[in-house]
Amino acid sequence: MAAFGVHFGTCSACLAVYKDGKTDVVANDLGDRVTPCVVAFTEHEVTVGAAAKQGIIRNASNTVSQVKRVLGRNFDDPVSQAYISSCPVKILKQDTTPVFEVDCQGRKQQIKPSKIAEIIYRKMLETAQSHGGSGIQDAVLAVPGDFTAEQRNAVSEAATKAGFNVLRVINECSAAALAYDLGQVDNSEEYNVLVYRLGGTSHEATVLQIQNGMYRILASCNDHSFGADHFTEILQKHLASEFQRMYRSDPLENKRAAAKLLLSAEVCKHTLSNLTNAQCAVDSLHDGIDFHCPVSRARFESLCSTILPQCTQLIQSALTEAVCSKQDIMRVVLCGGGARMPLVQRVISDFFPASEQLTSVSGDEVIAIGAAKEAAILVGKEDSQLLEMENQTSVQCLSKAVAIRVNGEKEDNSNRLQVIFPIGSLIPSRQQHTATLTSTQTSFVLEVYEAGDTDSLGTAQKLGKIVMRDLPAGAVIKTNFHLKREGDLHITSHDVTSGHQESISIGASSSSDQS
Amino acid sequence: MLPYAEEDDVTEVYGNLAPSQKLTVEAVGQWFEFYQQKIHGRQSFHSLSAASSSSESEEEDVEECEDDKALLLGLDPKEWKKQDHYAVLGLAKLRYKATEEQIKKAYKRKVLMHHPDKRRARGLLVQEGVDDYFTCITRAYEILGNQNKRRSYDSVDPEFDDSVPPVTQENKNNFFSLFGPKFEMNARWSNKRNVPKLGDADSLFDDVNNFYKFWYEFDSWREFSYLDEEEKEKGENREERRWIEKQNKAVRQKRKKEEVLRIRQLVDNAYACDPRIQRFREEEKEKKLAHKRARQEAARQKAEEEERVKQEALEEERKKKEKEDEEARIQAAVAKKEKEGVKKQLRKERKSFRTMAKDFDYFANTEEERINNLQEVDKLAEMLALNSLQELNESLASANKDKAKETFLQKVAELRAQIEEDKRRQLEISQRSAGGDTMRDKKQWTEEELQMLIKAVNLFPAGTQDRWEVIAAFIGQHVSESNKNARDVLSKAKELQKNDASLRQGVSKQAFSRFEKEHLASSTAAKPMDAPSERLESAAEAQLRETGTNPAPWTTEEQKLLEQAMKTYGPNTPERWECIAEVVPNRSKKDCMKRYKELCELVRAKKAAQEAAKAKKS
Repeated sequence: MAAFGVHFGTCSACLAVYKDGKTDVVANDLGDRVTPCVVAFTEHEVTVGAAAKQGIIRNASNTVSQVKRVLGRNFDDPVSQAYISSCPVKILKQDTTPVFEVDCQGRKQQIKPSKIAEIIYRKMLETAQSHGGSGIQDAVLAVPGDFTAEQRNAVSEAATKAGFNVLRVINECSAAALAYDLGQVDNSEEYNVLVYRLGGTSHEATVLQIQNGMYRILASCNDHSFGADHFTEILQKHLASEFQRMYRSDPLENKRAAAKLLLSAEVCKHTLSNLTNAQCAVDSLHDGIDFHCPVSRARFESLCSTILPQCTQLIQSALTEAVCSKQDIMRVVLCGGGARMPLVQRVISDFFPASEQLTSVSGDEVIAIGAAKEAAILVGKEDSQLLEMENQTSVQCLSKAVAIRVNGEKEDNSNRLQVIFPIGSLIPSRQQHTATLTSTQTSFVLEVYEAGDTDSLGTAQKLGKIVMRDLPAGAVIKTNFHLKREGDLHITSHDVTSGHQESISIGASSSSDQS
Repeated sequence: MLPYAEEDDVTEVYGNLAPSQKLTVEAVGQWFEFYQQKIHGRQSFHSLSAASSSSESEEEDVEECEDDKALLLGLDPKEWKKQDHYAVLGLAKLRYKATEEQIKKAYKRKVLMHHPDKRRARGLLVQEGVDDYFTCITRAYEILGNQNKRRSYDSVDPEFDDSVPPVTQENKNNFFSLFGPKFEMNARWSNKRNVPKLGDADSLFDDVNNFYKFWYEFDSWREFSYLDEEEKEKGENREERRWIEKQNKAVRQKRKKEEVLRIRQLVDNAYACDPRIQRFREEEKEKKLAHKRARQEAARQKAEEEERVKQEALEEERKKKEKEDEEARIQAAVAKKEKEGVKKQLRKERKSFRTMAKDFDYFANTEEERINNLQEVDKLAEMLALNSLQELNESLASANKDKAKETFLQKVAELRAQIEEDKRRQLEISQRSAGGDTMRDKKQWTEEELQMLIKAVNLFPAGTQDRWEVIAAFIGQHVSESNKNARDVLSKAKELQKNDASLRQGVSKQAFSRFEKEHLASSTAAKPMDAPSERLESAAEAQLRETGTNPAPWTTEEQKLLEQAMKTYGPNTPERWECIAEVVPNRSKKDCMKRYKELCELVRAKKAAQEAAKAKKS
């Protein structure tokens, strides 16, 4: 069964599929791995994707792009207001939500942002159906971490209307981490990850703690005023100044020329992510002049160097919020289309010299792939169960480590603690401990401690002990530690050879308990 | 290395664990799913539990593997289809609840125990080839180890109770304890998960409805391929295999049908026994009844309201009427009082007039004149209206004798003139009315015609169609010169009817005398007839002449004349009744007096009745 992950970004959407044990991005009908989130209303039809984006030059007032910025938001929201002031499409206020007014098929129509999202999702579904067959497709959606419940609902509803069976709506940062299978293979790993997303119009830095195979957000910072589009704008301005220098006229005065130049700059930017040189060529840009200008990567990077500190600033603030240093971050995950730029990757690897940077998956695809992996986990489960779990995002953990006292190999280090359940162990869980008594030993005591710091015995709290005597020499003692669902700890020691056993039960403390 | 136990060490517990903390995590990843599964304990995640053996050690197998050698030795490998596969593998208790894992384990254990090689090694007797009971174990695992085969075996599990509780009073009483487990047992055949529970006596209508809906549309996976008589693989060629398949299919279908019927029966019985259904029905009925009652109540109230409004209107009307009556009564009383007052004044004035006249010595110089004037004074006093009398009195009082006399004479003359005038007018009126009568009767009725009319009236009694036309035609037929139409006939007949029978008698008498006369003078020429009006008049006159009275009833005209006459001739008038009788035609003095007495009597009676009524009222 195919399961899909859909990343519906501000500027582009990406669809990934999990099939036959593999995840891959599904190319759309044009063969592109990402689809621009642009919907154009023309006299004859509604177009989505690259075709709509191309037509923006001539049909700007009826072409809706970056709809994600207003989706599920109120008209008076500052983010919406920023979008509305910059959007060439007429936006009206209906109740509290914004609606687009466009000329579609010769009529003025009022279209809600959710409808636009639905159109884009329907396009994604068409792409999905090329893989999963006709009909409804199971999908996991990824949304930014700062999305409110209404926005998530709006996204989910739009996808459902388009024909997806939405299994779950997950955060983009988690999806990115999941795409690299962080903590998934071995759940005993424990480390922190920084996920940096540089999207089209916003960027976000999230510190994730990976423990027991689960992701916990320690801190998340986002900024809607800065995105990969700024890089494009800088390049566009540069190209315009080149044009002015050559032909003594400013192409940005002409709206259509400005749009053309912006598209061309974007193509150049994409090219420069892979190549060191790009050619910007626009026919009949302004005053009938065909414009042609080469741009080198070095030139582009020097132009953009002024805005790069914004990335590191955001990351730094996220680290501060999470109360951890650069050294605590073991891995850095880059996602979002902007993360494909080599200079962004370089800036971040310079910022985290000791961390492993994960960039093997293209930045604009990584979220969709992560979502597809999640979909693979969820597919085939009952809907009711899924819904229930989506709301159950809390887990019970031990607040202190559980350890036993053991004799060290050396005589001087006799009071050492051996950790059975480390801090943050999930409840319930089980552990087994095996000890072999020496040939002279006929008795033992198993002392159970609880400690916040497992290095020293001093601060540890003794919880209980198991004593067994008259054991045969060289007895093998197996001890089962069972942390039950209710929170109490059952410990059973038994001598494998003689079959004697001894057990204690340490209760869970309710909040009123002193211990 | 665990430390040694000290002398005084004992197993004990000192305290509790520190409170656990709750962390919010992202709802992604397999470990999150796994954890949630574990917490909510829906299904065991087999694939994951294998991977997570470090944290999740194997559950202890609870089931002990009872090694019933006797059972195994008693098995006939050829009859493998009849064996209880679960019992063979030692899973008789778990049966369909056993997991794949458990079946696999049980099989492995059995193989270790009973494999021919192992037994041979232990020096036990082993039969050759397929005859050994070990084949039964492998068969059992073949069936239970395969998902599909296990299903078909489970479908015909001999332990399953196919019985359906009948509809009896006892079952109705123990409905939940009896049908609950029954449904739960049958739920395992459902293709759909989340089979609704029977619930209890307090279940909601929707739940119960849902439950029966589910069971009436029960989608079962139970199939009966295990009971196939012949195996398809045994067929030697394609045709035979196909035939076998066909046979099997038919049998399976039949069994499946029976199964469906069984479930249906079960649900039907449950439905019939369900006390909740009974209750819901009653509730529904009650509801309907209540609704109906409410509607009736509303209608009744409406009717009552209308009735009340009507009553009120009537009451109001009655009150109004009473009030009006009261007013009328008061007015009448006032009028009467006024009238009495006027009368009193009149009397007083008269008296003063008379005394004044006396004072003036009746304005007379001579005795004769005095008598005459005396009479005149009386007359004046009687006849003059109140105000004129007052005027006269005043003028008399203010004037001297001559002048008074003059005034008096003048007044007398006026009065006389007035009386004359009245008389003349009255006469005129009576003449005119009489004239009107004759005018209306301008078509003269001949004797013959009258006779014919009477005859015809008797001949064509009331109710005959177009009676008067017919009568007119009849008269026209018999009297050749008659020109009477229906209206004339009708008015004449009415007139005749109105008149006293004696009148008619008179007519017939006249007719008879004429007939006699005609007989007498039959040979001579017929005498000219008298005018009918004369004759008619003469009938009353003759009566008057003969008896001195006219017994015919008083007509309104006569009555009027009588009253007028009585007014004209006051009670003091000498020869009053003669004068009155003169005025009223066709009536004698006796008649008039009699009539007057009658009227007096009548008035008195009326007054007496009124007084009686008044007395009664008060």
